[in-house]
Amino acid sequence: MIFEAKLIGFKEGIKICLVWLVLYSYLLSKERKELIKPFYAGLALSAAAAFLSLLLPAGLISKDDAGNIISMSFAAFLILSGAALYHASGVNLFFGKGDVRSGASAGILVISGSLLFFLPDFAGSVLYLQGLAILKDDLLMTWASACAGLLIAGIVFFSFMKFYKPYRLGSFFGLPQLFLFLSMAKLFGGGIKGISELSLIPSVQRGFMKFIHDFIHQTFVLLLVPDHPILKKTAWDFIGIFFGAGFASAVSLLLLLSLPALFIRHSLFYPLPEPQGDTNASRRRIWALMLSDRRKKALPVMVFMVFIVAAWFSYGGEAVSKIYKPQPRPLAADGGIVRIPVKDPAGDIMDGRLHKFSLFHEGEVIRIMAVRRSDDSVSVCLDACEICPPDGYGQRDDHLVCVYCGTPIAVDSVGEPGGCNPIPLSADVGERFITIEMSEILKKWSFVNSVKTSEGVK
Amino acid sequence: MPLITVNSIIKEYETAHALRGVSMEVKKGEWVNIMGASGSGKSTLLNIIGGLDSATSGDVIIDSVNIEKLSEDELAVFRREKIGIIFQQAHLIPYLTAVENVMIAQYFHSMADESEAKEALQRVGLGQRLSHRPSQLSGGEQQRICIARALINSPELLLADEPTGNLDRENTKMILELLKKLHSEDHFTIVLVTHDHFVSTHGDRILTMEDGHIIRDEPVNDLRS
Amino acid sequence: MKRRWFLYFFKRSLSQRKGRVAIASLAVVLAVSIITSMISITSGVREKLGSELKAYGSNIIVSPGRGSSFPFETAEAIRRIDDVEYAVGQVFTTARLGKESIEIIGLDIAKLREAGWRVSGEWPQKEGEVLAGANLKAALKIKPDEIVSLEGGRGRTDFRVSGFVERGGAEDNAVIMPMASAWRLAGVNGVLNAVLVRGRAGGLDNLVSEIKRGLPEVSVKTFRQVASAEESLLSKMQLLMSLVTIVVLFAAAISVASTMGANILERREEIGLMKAIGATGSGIRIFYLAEALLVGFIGGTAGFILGVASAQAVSRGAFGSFIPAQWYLPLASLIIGLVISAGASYFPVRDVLKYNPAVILREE
Repeated sequence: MIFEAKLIGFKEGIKICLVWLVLYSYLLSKERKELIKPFYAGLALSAAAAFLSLLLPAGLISKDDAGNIISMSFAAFLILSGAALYHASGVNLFFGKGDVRSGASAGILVISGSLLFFLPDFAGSVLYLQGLAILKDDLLMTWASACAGLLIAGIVFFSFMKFYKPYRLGSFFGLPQLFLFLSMAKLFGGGIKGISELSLIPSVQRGFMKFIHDFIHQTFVLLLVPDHPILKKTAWDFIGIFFGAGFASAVSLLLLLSLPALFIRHSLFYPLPEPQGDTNASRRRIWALMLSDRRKKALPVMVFMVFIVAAWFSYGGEAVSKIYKPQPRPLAADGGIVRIPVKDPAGDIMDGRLHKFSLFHEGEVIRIMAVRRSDDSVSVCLDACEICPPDGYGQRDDHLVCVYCGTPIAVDSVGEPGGCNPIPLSADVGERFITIEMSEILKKWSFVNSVKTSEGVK
Repeated sequence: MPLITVNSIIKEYETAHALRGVSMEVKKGEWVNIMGASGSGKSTLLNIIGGLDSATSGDVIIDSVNIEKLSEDELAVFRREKIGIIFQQAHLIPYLTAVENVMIAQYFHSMADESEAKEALQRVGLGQRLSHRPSQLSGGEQQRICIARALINSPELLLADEPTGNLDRENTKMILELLKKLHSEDHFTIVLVTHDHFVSTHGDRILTMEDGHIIRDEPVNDLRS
Repeated sequence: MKRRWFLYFFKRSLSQRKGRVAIASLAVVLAVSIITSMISITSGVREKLGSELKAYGSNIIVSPGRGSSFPFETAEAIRRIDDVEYAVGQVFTTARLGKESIEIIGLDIAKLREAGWRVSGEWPQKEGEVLAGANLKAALKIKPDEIVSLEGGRGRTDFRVSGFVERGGAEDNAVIMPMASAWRLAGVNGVLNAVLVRGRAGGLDNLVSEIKRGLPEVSVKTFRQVASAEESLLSKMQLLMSLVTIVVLFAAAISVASTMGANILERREEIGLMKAIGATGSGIRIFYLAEALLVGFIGGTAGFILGVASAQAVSRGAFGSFIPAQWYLPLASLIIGLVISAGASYFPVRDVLKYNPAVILREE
């Protein structure tokens, strides 16, 4: 048995079972039991489509694309949950009045919802399993292991349901809570690989950091370019706070908690209607029922908030983990050419870590860096970008991080020019040496230099 | 459709038969007294009707629900919604004041409401003794708290097990006046167990029990004449 | 609001029964404090033994074969053997500092400097100056250059603490002084209690037999032998301690259960009445659970304080030193308290709830 394959099968199985349980309990409490059939249909369609995706030409969807699709489907769920909250507060957002109760439209909603929910994960898992099968060179065993994992999840779940039928879970879920549950299931169980990608929290966090960077940084760059150097330095220091990893992760936590917090506010603090009844006792009973109902509905949301905070703490640490900053090794130009050894006792460029080199030129230190991308090509850049003061980059997991502004840059995209990317150098990567023309270095360094003087920053 | 239908109830204890096949009906708004010597099974019958005890066999249908088939929790809900019980000993909680003893019944029913509980005590004439503990009150006063507590959740059915058993004649009269008022003005259905002939002259109908059977079922008026 | 009313009635139920709650809490306090001090002593002893082995970076210990000491010259004899990097003679004694009994290590201070020890403050320069271990500094709040008055076998002597050492070993809990001062304090002369030897790595076993050949009177062990002997002693001790703990836990649980059980049986009528007026089992249980948790919280917290205090008292009596605090102990005490009291009240409540209300109310 191949452990990774089994793990993926198990994870997907548990996810299906949990979603089924909550959805079925919800439908029972709403007396719409028949709507579970479209869910099965959506599930089957997702599985079928996932396997069909194997027929697509290889390389059409890259790993990054798959990750993006998953992130987007998560975002779609967040947006849908927001809409559901709005809907539940009395505005009929979905269809016309009363339309949701008609079987056909509700069925379509459920089918498309479960497709949206399961398809990206299934497709990702299938793709990954296929890759694993090629890697392990054992197609049958890989798929058998995945099926075994799925089966184990199913057996665990069915034996649990045999003894304990928690259908009363339904009374804890309204439509907003259901959507929130689904997005949580997506957030925590949405990765493609095994444990390493179990959670999307780090990517949400990185994505957020990228977002504030692109939005605020670029805006300020645009606004501040013709400004006075000293004012600009102050402004940069101020803006710098917002690009720090701590700030980004705090805000991403707030972002993740904002929707649940709105739910709590909605379900606990909205005034209840005055109960109608013949006797004091019946009025009290209705009042108590309303109170307990809305408290019940708040409970899963609170549980999710605890989950989010716990996950944020465990993954947040990873995403803001220590940045690796190598010491630059000195280089010298020889006849207008700089040569960097690919592998020597001091280091191996192909080891996947960031390597830095320093070059003295007319009293200045020019830093160059080299890093291997996942396709085994090497990208060579200046250790500076065109925007920030040239504090250089550090490495965190498979990202480079700007020391000054904290912007993450995927290693695989290092070498693309412009913006916050390190300024690429055209270099000749040979078997033993990387050769760069000195004139190329000086030409690119002049960008940094001009930025530096115009910034008024040492 | 009668409010209570009791169908051939048998209650066996390990050593004895308490009820040997009792059947009876009570209409809505009726006041029925159950009489008999001690050990005749009258209290057991009342407890079974109130869902405080379960029968060995037979059905008790109240408001078209067979309470012998209810689960433990459903039975609790049935008791809090449908039944008000007055005990011989008032069974008040010693550390709670008069008004709190009524409020705790509200709490278990749905939620406590202090002003409503005070009002209920005023109606049984205890408006001046709201924050007294049971130990500071007389037997008659305790029994009136018990009645206020039984009525607070607007039950369908009022069950009374020797409500005047521990009281003197004065207090007995007062409690019976209270019950009469509830019966005539608020149309409560009352089932009352007693061995006191004076008590049994109030109400509509008298069932007489002996050795686990109902041996007589007669209207109150007939007995007087 | 239902939750507020729950707290209201819960507080009311406690207000008239403070004595009962106090007695139940006391039972939990006793149980938790005994268990806490057991855990504390057992794990403290483990850490203490371990730390003694770390001392000096030496790897052989030479101790008297018979009696408790040997002449001072033994150390010189060992030092003359080839392959001995250094040999430090030590004399152990205890002295009282105020109310505390503390360990005294007497040795040749110059040898420590050679061995590369570092001291915060000054090395003792003249007669009457000593070093103190870092743990002592923290526990007794000793300031640099403070005069401490030590009371040994030969009466009271004043010493000036010139510096502090922190080695992560037994010496962190001791006062270190020149050998002559220690002899004077203990009232002996010219004796050693042990010689710690650092042999050149490699030929340790050879060195052991060589020392034995030269000095047949002494016992020579490598630290690995000492460690494994201590380890086996320790595991026996831990087994004993855990057996005692289990027995105590059991006895404590029973005593708590009977106290809580009596409390609940006393309130049978109340439970029957609550059922009769329509309370569900869980609606009643939550009152008793809340009370049990309160009792467990009080008992766990107070038991922790009492247990740690008694563990320190025991260890001062038995080992003459403090026990380092375990970070998990407060949490463990609280959990033990909560589990004992919740478990003890769960079963009686369950038993009472099993009966029909009519059965309970008829008994009264």
